[in-house]
Order: sequence, then structure tokens, then C-alpha cells
Amino acid sequence: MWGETFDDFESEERELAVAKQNFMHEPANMNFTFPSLPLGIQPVEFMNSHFGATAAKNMKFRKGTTTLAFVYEPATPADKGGIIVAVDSRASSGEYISSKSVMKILDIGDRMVATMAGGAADCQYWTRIVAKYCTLYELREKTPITVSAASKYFANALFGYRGKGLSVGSMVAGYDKKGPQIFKVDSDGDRCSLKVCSVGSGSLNAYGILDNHYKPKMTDEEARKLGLRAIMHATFRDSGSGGVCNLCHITPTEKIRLPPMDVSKLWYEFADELGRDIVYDPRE
Amino acid sequence: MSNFTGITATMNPLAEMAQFKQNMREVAASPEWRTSKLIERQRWNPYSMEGGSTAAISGDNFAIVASDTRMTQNDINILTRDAEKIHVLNDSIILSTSGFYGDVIQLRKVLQSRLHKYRFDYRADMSADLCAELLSRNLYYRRFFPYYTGAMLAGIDENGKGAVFSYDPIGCIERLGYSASGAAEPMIIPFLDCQIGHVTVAEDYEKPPLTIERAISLMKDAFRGAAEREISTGDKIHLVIAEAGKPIVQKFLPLRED
Amino acid sequence: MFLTRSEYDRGVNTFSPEGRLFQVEYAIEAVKLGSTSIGIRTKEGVLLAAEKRSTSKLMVNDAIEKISKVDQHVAVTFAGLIADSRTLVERAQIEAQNFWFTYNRKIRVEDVTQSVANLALQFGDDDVKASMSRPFGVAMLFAGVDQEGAKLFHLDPSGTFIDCKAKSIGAASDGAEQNLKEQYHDALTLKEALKQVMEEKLNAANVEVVVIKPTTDEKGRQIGQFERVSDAELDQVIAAL
Repeated sequence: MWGETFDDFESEERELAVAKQNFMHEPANMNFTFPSLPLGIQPVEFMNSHFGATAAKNMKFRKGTTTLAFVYEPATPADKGGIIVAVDSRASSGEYISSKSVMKILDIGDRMVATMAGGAADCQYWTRIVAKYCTLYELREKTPITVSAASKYFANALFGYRGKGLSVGSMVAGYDKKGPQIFKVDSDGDRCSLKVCSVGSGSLNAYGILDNHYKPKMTDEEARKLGLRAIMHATFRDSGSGGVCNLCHITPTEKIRLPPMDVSKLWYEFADELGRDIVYDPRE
Repeated sequence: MSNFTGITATMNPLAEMAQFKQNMREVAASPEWRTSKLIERQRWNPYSMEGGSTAAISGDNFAIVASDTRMTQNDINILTRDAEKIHVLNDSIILSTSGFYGDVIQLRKVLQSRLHKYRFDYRADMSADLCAELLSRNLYYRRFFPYYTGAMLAGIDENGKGAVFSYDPIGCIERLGYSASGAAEPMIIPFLDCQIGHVTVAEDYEKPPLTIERAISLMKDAFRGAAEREISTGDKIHLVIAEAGKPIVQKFLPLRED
Repeated sequence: MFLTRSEYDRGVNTFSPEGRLFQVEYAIEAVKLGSTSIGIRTKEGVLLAAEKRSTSKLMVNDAIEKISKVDQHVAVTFAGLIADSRTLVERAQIEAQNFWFTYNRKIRVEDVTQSVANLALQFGDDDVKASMSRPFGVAMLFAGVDQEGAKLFHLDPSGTFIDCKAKSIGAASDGAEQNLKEQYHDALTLKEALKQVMEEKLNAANVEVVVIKPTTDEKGRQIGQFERVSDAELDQVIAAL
């Protein structure tokens, strides 16, 4: 009660040890738990009040938007076929565009990619966790991991944090022994295999274009153009999407990243193709 | 518990149980006896917004970072006029921060310790790009109780090029040519977009090269402009200049004090 | 050799009056019972070769793996108690991945060796913190290419690791090392190195060869690429001898 007792001293030592553990070392992955709020504070409510709609501008988390991926078969022997992954590049914090050049196609190993929609930091971090797991899996099992297994690990990892406010909508796409695969994974723990898939606030617009123009057999040129077109239309009608269109073509043998295309330039390109303004003008 | 109707023979027992559980959840989340005033009072707020703005520009062989030195409480009450928001971590890494100063100090301590340990473990100073990734991971480790900071990391990367990394509070990382964070971010960024990104001029328009002198004068302009129109920015510009192969230089320049 | 053998070799934490830790020295002897492995560093990359000694013709030779991949740019081979090496290799793999996870950079060969050396030292007869009650009975050769170039490290059971140009471990290491000393020169090519390794009356069935060649990653940084030399290529080299 008056002054220092041995108990105080011991707890101080303990605190020091904890501080060292937290500051000096990379947390051990086996028993790492995220530091959490004090008992009784609702995590989602807390995040909303400090980092949600009412938060200061630069305190809102960055959110991603339109992403799409589809599988197609080559129409002619000269084409490669495979998977097209196309994404926009806008990250918004509320109404403020905090970045217009985000790379939303993240690598998992050299044959697989994951797209990023929802919380940007969540996607970046968990994709890294999955990539690490995949590398270790391949070293231990001496065989390449399947897209199915990688996405299941991803979904399980996210499911472990269900209800804690993570926000991830990702597509894991790649080639494995079963052929081209796309798995959609989200933070609610959902995981499903799809051939044509789009995620994000602009996904409805992208689906419109994809459903209209998608064919199971396409030339590489057609397929890449379809990806660009869907992203362009999504950025045109969805204020949450924009910037440039990043495109990745996964063929049976390689992963080709195409240079970014400015969507506002694409707009003119597609309008020229149509011979008129993309939007119908009723006055004419 | 307005929907609770007591035990009646007519109701489906499963639906009844579900309803009961729902009511229990609702009442546990917000008991009826809590008035709105009480709820407001009990809302736990461990953060305080201490304002200020920082910006960073990177060039071919340099990176410059600037911030104001005003620290405010709730944007109104000026606590001090010479707060340090830029932290030089080693010869090539500069951390600049806005947001809650308590978290800033904690974050700096974490990074300094990790840099120190890296020197022991790997017998070399960490370079800016490694530290940038490290910072991203450490911000994310606090995903469920985030640091209330808008951090930026600038410096010279291992190839001797200038580098600026921008983050959100939970560690979404991106390498950019220039970036800003804090209260005046929406004012500084459009200015830099125009002057450095050249997004508002035609493609064939002659674009001046980004020299270190031009970057410094742009930075001064950006902050003077922000101090004119933003209440929590002002007092002094703290300017930190890192040039490849040279020691880091720090300067203070006066700003509006109102 | 161990004329002074006495009661001082009972515990791993007891020095003899001459200042020796017998259990550690015995562990180093255990390495010499293992099959031979060779590592050669050249300008064109690093080569690791391991002899696969089959003790019975009923044994499936392909099933033995004497050179493990640690990461895209690092390989490791070992001699001694093979089972012990599994723990160490796994530690190396995890350490390499954790470094990549935190810093988004491939770990240096020296650092991955150091982290395994740290584990190799964590033995003792207290069962609180130590992971092993005895020293590991393996020596390892870490080979790889990082931003500093081709690297070859030799790690022994005492936890000492040394940067080498060429090194041999295992049963025939003395003879092989003598050969290496005579033949090694700084301008050695990978092909010459491979030839030199194969001179020891080997064939594709009883040797395993891995080369790590320098490449650049997407950011233009120098890094290595792990490649197993196929049986067909080995046969070619042998035919050319």
C-alpha cells in the first residue's frame, strides 16, 4: 500500500518483458494474436465511431472497388487462353480519393494472384499470409499448391475473424493441375468456384458487360478487351471506381501483367469504336 | 423486450426461442435503462485528434518531408507551437505522422526498437524500403485497436533513389512519388497533383523537371497555402531533406501563427 | 582421438578440464558417418552435390532427398543424422518465409544460416527452454545467391558457420576436400565444377545435384534460382568425362 512491494516489482518486470516482446521482436506466428480492445468494448461499433463515416478524413480506411476475373478457352490455336484478371485502381477514404494508382492484383506465388476489394489493408495483409503459407506448403509437400487449397486456407483464415469487422472480397485465380481456377473468397467466410466473377461496388456494372459479351471461347485479344471494357464501364457508372485499369493474363505457362490503361482514355477508345457517345442522348 | 408475449400454446416453440434469443441479444447490447446521455458518456474514446499536416516528395536522388509544428486539441485549442511530427529514424529513413500523438510516440518507439534489433541481427542499417514494409505490418498488427495515425515514410532506398510510402491507419501501403497526410491532405494533394503529377495540363505542355530546389519551394508553397485556409495547420514548417550520399538536413521556417 | 575421454562426456553442459565439450565433438564425429556432400561456389552460381548411399538394393533410391530447397534462392545439403536435419531445414524454411513476410525481401543466405545456427545451439539438459537435449548430429552446407552474390556457408553441430568457396562434408570429405583444394580456382565455371564433382566415380542414380544460378527479380535485384540437375544432364556430364 505504501511504496513498492515485491509484487509491484514483479508486475513491472512482467510489463517490461511484454514490452520487449511487442517492440523488439517480430511476433512469433504460431501464437500471435492481434492486440484487441479492452473487454466489453464492441469492436465493430468502436471501429465505426473512430474510423467510420464520422471519422476525420485521413483516418478512414482505404477501400477498394471494382475487380473482375474470368476463365476462357482459346478460340484459335494461336491463342493461349487462361484467365483474365482486370481491376481498377482507385482507393477511397470516404468521399476522398486517397489513391488513384493502387495495384489491386496481388501475387500469391508465381502462378497465382489474388484481387483486392474491400479493405485495402486487410487484403494486402491476408494475401501475404496466404502467400507465405503457399510457399511453405510447396516446400514441405514438394508439389505446387492448388488454387482450391490456397483459397480454402484464405477463407479459413478470414473465417477465424468473422464478426470482427474485416472487409475482404477477393478472387484467387490461377492455373493448377486441374486447369484454370477462380475462387471468390470473402470475409464472411464464403468461398465458391466461378468461371466469371466480379467483386466490389462496381461489380454490377462489370457483370452487365461480362454477361453480355462473354463467350467461353475467345481470342486473347477479345478476352483482354472484354476485361478492359467491363472495367471501363464500371468506372464510368460507379463513383467508387476509377483511375487506371490493371490487367493480368494468366496462361497455362506464364503470368503476363499488362501495362496500366487510363480508363478515361479507354472511354474515348470505346466510344470511337461505337461511332457515338457511349451514353444514349435522347435529344438526338 | 416489447415483443415478449409470454408462453402461449399457439406459437411455434422454435420461433419463440429464436425471438427470445434475439431479444436477449438486443437487451445485452443496449440495456433499456441506458439513456442516450449515458450511452454517449460511456462511449470509450482512447484517441484524441491532434491535427497538423505532413507531406513528402521524392525525386531521383532525394526525398523531402515537411510538416507543420502546431499541435491542437479538437482542432481548436492550440496545445503547443513546436511539436515534432517528423522523426528521423536513421541516416536514410524519415517517419512523418499526423493524428494522435500518443500513438505516434508508441509507433516511433516500436520502429526504433525494431531498427535497433535489425542492426544487431543483420549487421546492417535497415533501408527505407524494408522499413516501409515493416511499418505496414506493424500497423496491421493493431488491426482491431488501430494506431490513430496517418503515417508516411520517406527516405533513400537501397538503390539511392528517393522513396515515399503512404499508409492508411491500418497499414495499407503504397509507394508514391509524393504524398500528404493529416488535416490539410485534401488541400496539399491537389496542389502537388497539379505541380508534380501534371494531371491538369495537356500532354504536350512542357513540364519542368523535379529538382530538389523546386521540390523544396513547392513544399513551402503547399504549407503556406494550407496555413491560410486550415485551422489546425500553422506556426512553423519543419522541413527535412534527405539526399543520397549526404547527411539529413533539418530546417524550420516560419508560417502564419494565427 | 579422444584419449582424454572420461566422465566429462556425460553431459552437454560440462566442460572437460582441457576446455572441451565432448558431446559437441562427438556430434561433429557423427557427421563423418554420413554420406558425402560437396558445395562449390563459382562466378556463375553455386553447386551442391550429395552422394546417395544406398545400403540395400531393395531400397528405393529416388525416395531419398539429400538436398532440400529452403527458398527460391537457397538450397541446403547435410551429412550426419538425417532425421535431425529435418528440424533444422524446417526452421530455415520458416525463417526465410518470415523474413519475406515482414520485409518483402528474400532473406540473405548468411542470415538464414545464422538463424539455423541459433537453433543448433539451443540444446541442454534442462527441459524448460531447450528444444533438444543433445546437439544436432548434422553438418549443413547452405548455398544460395542473394544481392551480395553467390554464397556458400558451412554449419557444423557446434553452431559455428563459415563462409566457404568450396567445402565437403561427410564420410569422404577429407579426400574430396583435398581434391577441391587442388582443383579450385576463382574462374571456375559451373560446368567445370559439375565435372569435378562427378569425377568421384558416381552415376546419376547415386548422386543428387542442385545448382543455384543468379537471376534478377521483378525489381531488378539480384537473386538466385533453384534448379535440380536432371538425371539426363548428369548422364551427359558423365559420358563426357
